Amino acid sequence: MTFFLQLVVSGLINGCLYALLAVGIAMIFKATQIVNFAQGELFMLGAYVHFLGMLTALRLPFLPALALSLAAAAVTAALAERLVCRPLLGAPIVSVVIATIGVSFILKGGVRLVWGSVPLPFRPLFETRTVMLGGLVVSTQGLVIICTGLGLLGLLYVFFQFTKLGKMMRATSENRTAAVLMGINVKRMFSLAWALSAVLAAVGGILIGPLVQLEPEMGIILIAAFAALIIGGGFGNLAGAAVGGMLLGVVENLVSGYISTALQSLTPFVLIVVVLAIRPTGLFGRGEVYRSHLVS
Amino acid sequence: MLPVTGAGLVLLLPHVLAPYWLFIANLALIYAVAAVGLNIILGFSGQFSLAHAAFYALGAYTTALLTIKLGAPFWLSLPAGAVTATVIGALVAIPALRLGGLFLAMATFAFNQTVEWILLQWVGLTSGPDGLPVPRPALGAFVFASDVSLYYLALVVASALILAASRITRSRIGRTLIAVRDSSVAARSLGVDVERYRIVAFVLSAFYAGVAGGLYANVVLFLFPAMSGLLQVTLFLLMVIIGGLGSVAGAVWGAVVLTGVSEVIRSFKALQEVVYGVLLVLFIVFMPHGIGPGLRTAVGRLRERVRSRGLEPWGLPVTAGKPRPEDPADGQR
Repeated sequence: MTFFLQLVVSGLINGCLYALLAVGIAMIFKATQIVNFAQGELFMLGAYVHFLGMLTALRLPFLPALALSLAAAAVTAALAERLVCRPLLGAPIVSVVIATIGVSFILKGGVRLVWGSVPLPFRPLFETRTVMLGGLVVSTQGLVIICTGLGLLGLLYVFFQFTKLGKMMRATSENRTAAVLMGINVKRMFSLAWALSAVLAAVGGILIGPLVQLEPEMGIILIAAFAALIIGGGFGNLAGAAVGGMLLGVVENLVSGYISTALQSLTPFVLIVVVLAIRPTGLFGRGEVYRSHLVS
Repeated sequence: MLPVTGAGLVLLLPHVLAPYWLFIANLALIYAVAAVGLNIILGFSGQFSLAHAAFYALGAYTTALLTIKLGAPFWLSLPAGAVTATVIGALVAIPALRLGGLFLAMATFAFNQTVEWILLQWVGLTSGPDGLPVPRPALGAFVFASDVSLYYLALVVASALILAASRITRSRIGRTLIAVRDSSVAARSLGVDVERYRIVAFVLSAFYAGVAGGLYANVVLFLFPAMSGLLQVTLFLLMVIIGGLGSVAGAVWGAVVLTGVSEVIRSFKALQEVVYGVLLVLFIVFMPHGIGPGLRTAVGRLRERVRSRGLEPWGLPVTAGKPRPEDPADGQR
């Protein structure tokens, strides 16, 4: 039993990261009907800017590096939205998605050009210690990830439920025409959605710290984000996206613990197939799937 | 006259080209097959499948492994590789096509990356990241020892498949696919079994990708897991987009152009990524129907401007100001 709980808790660590990415993608989709294939690269960019800000000649302390990273991600996303997605506003979804794939390559290649392909080791944010939590072992890094992740998601909830800006964004997602008629600057809402989700992705990249290496291929985590969205039915539903992410993290870890570590990487894909075959709307999807751009 | 000279040129090509360019020509033939296949699923059938590179790599590795491990001759291993890719394509198509649209994109994307991961990790079978060298194809005693002979091999296979694609797309199947693409609801109301035709398109494109992969194995003689990667998918996407979706000829010369481009920037992965990314974005935004229509639109617009305003805007004497009958559609005239 303890082994199971241990796996669950450790799984939540990755799960929070997946949740952050998935919620970001869901946010963009909700506001603009676009699935952003460049989200993984925004994640990667956040990690690179933060850690290189701290490690290279700049020698920035933690907070300025963090700020720089979030700003870089937000600006990149806003630029991508303005330069690539805005001109494609009326175009078929396929075109826009292909465009975001193009953006993801520009970002990946750009990072590779500047910093090379060789993976760089992260420097941990602080010394890794472990903590005993009711009989379970958790690393401090893991605790930070879970707390930050949940905290951010909570903040996001508050933002959307209670702030004017959040409500404006929700209005834009629900009915773009009505939002325009109400005087909402819809284009600014688009940029905001992209910038906000880029910030989420960048935070994820920063949090993943000592768990992986810094390399241009980090964006591969996108598959996990997609799996999280499909599992949780998160395309119309940010909460579903978050839950899907946590669930994916936990299931992955259970697979690794009970079946085989090697097969852990196959979990996202297997889950995508299983969920699409059995219950395409996912756990919390509201049947919107069949009416949206996700289905032809 | 023109087709004859064209055919003659193509047949004589290997004897006039320098070895490096001959290699590129071979690559172009292989990519043309793959691009035509992608066009069938993306252009004619309108389904957003991102798994093309996976089938291409599966065909390649299957062909190679059959030759290496079982000693199968290329004229067996190549079709076998293609068939394997096709079967896997069918297995993927059946669950995936129930949803289509962006879900298909995400699911095929995940499938594609998973195949690459498997090719990378199963080192015992595929030699993983080191790559897999392939023995030269042989027909009985005749070994395809030179690039020239390989060119003819590739040419025979490629022309057969491209011609077949041309035929298929002009046939009833092609028209049905286009109908399904443009409006699945309307097609269904006309009695078309939409699901079946979508599966047919998917499976057909997987077959083409598999053949292209098998050809690659036998012509380039070296395989690597990144053949199934997203970069390869992007390259294929670019070929059909630049050439124009829904045009077999477009896919072919899109492949030729992009093979050239890819070879030029071959050694710098970072550069490849940036260039392909930029090209993808530029074409999708400005010329989503390919260079042909894109140029035609641009030229048409230019012509319209000259006709309506003379050549003054460019500082040239007004020679185009011929009196024309009043045309209410002309705007301020």
